[in-house]
Parts: sequence; C-alpha cells; structure tokens
Amino acid sequence: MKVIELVGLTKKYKKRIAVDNLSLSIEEGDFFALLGFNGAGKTTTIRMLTGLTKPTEGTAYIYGKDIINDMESIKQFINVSPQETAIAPNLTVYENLLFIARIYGFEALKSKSKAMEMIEKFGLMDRKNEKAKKLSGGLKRRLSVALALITEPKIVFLDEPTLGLDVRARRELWYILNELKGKVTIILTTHYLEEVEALADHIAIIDNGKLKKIGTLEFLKKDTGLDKLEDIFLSLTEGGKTL
Amino acid sequence: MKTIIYAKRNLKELLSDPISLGFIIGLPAFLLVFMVVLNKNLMFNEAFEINNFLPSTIVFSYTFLTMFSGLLIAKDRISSFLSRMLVSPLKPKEYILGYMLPLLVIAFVQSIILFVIGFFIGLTFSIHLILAILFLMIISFLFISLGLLLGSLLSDQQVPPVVSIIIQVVAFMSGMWFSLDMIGGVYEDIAYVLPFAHGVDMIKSVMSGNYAEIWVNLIVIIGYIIAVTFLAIYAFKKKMKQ
Repeated sequence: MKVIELVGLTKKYKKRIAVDNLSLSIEEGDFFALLGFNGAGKTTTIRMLTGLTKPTEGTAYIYGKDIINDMESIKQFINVSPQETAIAPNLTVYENLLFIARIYGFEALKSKSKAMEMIEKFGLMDRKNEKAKKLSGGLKRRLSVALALITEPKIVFLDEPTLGLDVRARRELWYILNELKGKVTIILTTHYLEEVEALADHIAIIDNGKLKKIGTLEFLKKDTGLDKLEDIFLSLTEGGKTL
Repeated sequence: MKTIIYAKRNLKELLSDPISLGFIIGLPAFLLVFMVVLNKNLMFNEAFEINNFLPSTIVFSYTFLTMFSGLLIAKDRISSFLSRMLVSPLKPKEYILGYMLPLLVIAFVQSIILFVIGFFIGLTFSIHLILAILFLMIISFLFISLGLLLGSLLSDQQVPPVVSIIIQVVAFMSGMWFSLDMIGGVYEDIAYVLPFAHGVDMIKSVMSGNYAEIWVNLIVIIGYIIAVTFLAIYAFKKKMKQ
C-alpha cells in the first residue's frame, strides 16, 4: 500500500529551485533513504512533507491526504527528528519524552508508560533524570529520535540522524532503527552511504532537486552496472563526475 | 490543555536559571529599597517617592521579561526545537500562548514581590493596588510580545544587546529616574510617543484612584500591544517558514 505519494513536488526560491518536479511513492513499512549531496533538496522535501514549508508547485499525499489542504490531520500520525538535535535542553530525558507524548494528545498515564518504554528501548535508563543539555552528542541524537517515535507515528522522518556521531554511537542508532523496520514507515536522509546499504529497503538519489534514480540497492546495481553504492551515487550526481 | 502543557515546559526552561530569575527580582527590589529609603532621608527627587518609584520600578522589571522571552524563542528556533513543535499537532495560537503564559506568571510574581517590599518602605494598602496589579498585567503583555518579536527576528546572541537598549529606553524615558516634565520639550514628546511613560502614568493613576486619567494611557498601551503582538506573530510565522 502506498502511504506517501509525491506528485510533481516542487519548491522554488527566488534564485534557485530546491526541489524540482519530484514524483515518487513510498510503500507502508518501507525504510526509504533519500540520498543526495548538501543542497540536493533532501531537507526541503522533508520540510514540505511535514508541513514546515509549502510546495510552490505539485503536491504530495500522505495516507491519501493532501499536504497542502489537509496537513492538520496528517500531523497526527507523522513525526520528525530534525537535522539539528531538537530537544528541550533544560528538561530531563524523562520530561522531554513525557512532554512530547502529552503534546500529541496521549493521556498522562499512557505518556508515562510510553516514556519509560522509550527510555528502555533507547538505552537511556541511567540518564533518565539528567537534563538533556548534559547528554553527549550521541545520546542527544538518540533522545531526539526517541522523541520522534514516542508518539507512535505511522511515518517518521529522520533528517540526517547520525550526523556528527562517532562510529559507536552511529552503530548503536542503526541497531535501534533496524529494529523498527517493517513496523513504521521511515524516511531517512543521510550522507553516509554505508548507512543506506545497511538499513534501506529503497533508495532515491536526488541531485539539484531532481530525482535521478529510485529502487532497491540490487535494482540500482543492476540498472547502472556498478557494484558499489558509492560509484552508483557518484555516477548519478553532479553530472556523473567521479574522482 | 496543550497550551498548558507547552506553557509548563516553557516555565521549566525559564526557572532552570535561578541566577537570572533572582536578578530580575533582586535588581528592581534593590533599586526600589535603595532609592526610596535614600530619598526619604535626603528628599532630593519626587520621582523616588514610593507612589512614583514603585510603578516605574515594576514596569522597569518587565524589561527582563523581554529578555527572557526573546532568548527562549531565539534558542528554540535555532536549536530546531520549534521545528519539532511546528510539525506536531500544536496549533500556532497554542504555542504562542504557551510562550506568553509562563511569562505572565513570572510578571505577576515579580509585581507581588515588589508590592510587598513597597509595604515595608512606606506604601499604604488600598483597594486600588489590587486593580493596579491587573493593569500591570496588561503592561507586562507588551513586554512579553516585544520579546516574542525580538526572539522571532534575532539570534540568541543578538537578543541581549537589543534588549539592553530597551532597558535603557525604559529607564530614561518612562519617568523612572526623573519626572519627564522636568525636562519637557522634545524629550518629553518622544517619551510620550513611546508606551513606557504611559504605562507608568497609568499605574500611578490607578494606585491613587484617579481612574478618569487612565484612559488615554490605556488606549496607547493597548494600541502598542496590538501592533507589537501582530508584528511578533507575523515575524514568527514568516521566520518559521524560511
């Protein structure tokens, strides 16, 4: 079942086109990776799909609802982990989770049990009562992703969730994300190709706001005749320039 | 309900810095006691008589609310926390009110503390003082909106210097340190184009029971509140779409 459908989605700014006539669809439960260089249009696409900015042309449907006219009802079943760590610095880990659950309309009792469930799942038990600003970069990211998942979203957008993390912290987050496969539809943007290889069911490569190629890793390999995702990515972006 | 949940979070963020909170009550309290007591002994300036200096000190103390609200919003904006909120089912009016409510609570506490201190240094209780607190809450709204406007437009590093200018303007153009008609002329005219002197005059009138004199001041202040709040909401929404 298609849960996200982009139809000619376009975002133009004064001097440039950030997203150019993007059309693609994403299946329910899919782990979908949006791959592209800085400024390729990944974050702008996510901002449009989460209602933070309106498309200039085209639209997208999330569970059949139009992002232009029906964003309020879409907001009930999506969540996001933005590129920068989005946590309340002076609330504790537990208070952060509780706060987000309550904002999404969960009852107090359920919010408390969900907060504890996420603390357990994300390995934050020993830091439960610590202020979020005191956590390490890796733990802040983990909390940020936990905040995106506590509301039981049907679709979660993870905008470069492992950016700036060390190898261990990144692997730990991969492990958690891998556990979610099939249960939630995940849209991931990242620069790390090995992350995409390890986690994604489908990959869309975008360059200068345009969709270059979409499919499973196997399909992309077969279609381009290349073995490595890095080679595929380089051949499809920046005019195919390789180093 | 969601407004209250969001307001609670913002209150926790604000209360997490006890030194600043102590400062926003401690500095005006010190000024109030020091100047009123000094003036009682030396009789050098009628601006420092308790019925004049208490209203201007309370209005002055609200400038720190501008700093608090500006910083909170600027930090939330820059850290992407606001993006998370904007993606949530929270409605724009809910998060704007969620920012304002905790600051109104702080303004209320500030006012009560300064009134209580006032009783120790010569303020006489009257029923008018209760109404004065109500009118002070209206004035505090102006300073909170100003913070919302600055926090929407500026970074967390730009907010403090800009608010410092506002603090100086309020101190020197509200009649806090000297009666404005002592200087008169263009200085007084400019002071009365701004809302701060109107705020101080209004509270003085309410405290002395001269309600006939409050209306012009009240209209100017409400006009400013509407204009600043409208601009703040416009700037907030525009900035979040960028």
